[in-house]
Amino acid sequence: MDRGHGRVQRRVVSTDELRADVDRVLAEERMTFERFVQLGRADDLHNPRLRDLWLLAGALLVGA
Amino acid sequence: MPSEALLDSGSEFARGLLDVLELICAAPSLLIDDVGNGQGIIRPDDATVGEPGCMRTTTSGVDLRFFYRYDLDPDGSYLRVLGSSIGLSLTPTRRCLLRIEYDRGKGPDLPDAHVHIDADGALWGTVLTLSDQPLRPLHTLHIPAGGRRFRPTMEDFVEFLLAEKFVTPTRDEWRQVLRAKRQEWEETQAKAAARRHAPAVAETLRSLGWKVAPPPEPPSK
Repeated sequence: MDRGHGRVQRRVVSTDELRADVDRVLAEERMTFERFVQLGRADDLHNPRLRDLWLLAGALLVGA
Repeated sequence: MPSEALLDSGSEFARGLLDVLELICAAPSLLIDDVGNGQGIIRPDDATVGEPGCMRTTTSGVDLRFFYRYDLDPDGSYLRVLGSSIGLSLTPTRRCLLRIEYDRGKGPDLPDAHVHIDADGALWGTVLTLSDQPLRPLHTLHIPAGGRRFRPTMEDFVEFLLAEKFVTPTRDEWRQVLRAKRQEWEETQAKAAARRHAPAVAETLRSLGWKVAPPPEPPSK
């Protein structure tokens, strides 16, 4: 599915795989996932790197 | 919702993004993930960058960072962006200095479409103090930007990077490409707005001389 020089790759992934991406950043920033969710839901994430991550993490929280 | 429909819609959206990304990235690579809960994520393949959502631009050290989270509308006909984040990230700090964000249903007092700026904001600190609020970083403010329907797009952001010469275009005709892509976006949004506000649109069309009639009533069961 290439176009020009770019490339699009479709995948079916588990939420666990997505969670692994999130957890890697959280580990570097020394924060637990539970605390991250708590602060994110309250819109109280003051760590800018974690704020950047919040929208990606949102896909993990559907129905949670 | 079938996974294929979700991935097909995401692929179509992503191919449109590539047209824009190719203006500032040598070989943009996108991942479309079906995460199995009715939602898809479109994001850069960051395997070579090592930071979620980051994509190298033509300027070393200046990364583009973005995610799109989406689903399909209840009919399964249209891709619906639930959240998006498009930002300028500095490689060494891994922080976004500027981020255009859309978070559908963010909160009663927060704009769905907004801008975050990460910078020193001493004067903003004064505003917070005068309004009896605790000091907080500038990047936590949600600066409204266009509302749900006409929010800034990837095209706008890439144009900003190019116009301010933060990145170098890969093609001389980047303005024409962006103009064409913006036209597509505006038409897509106009159609969505027409579906949502059909009576108002019909009234406007009639005032312009169009003959517009409501659809027939569905047969009663």
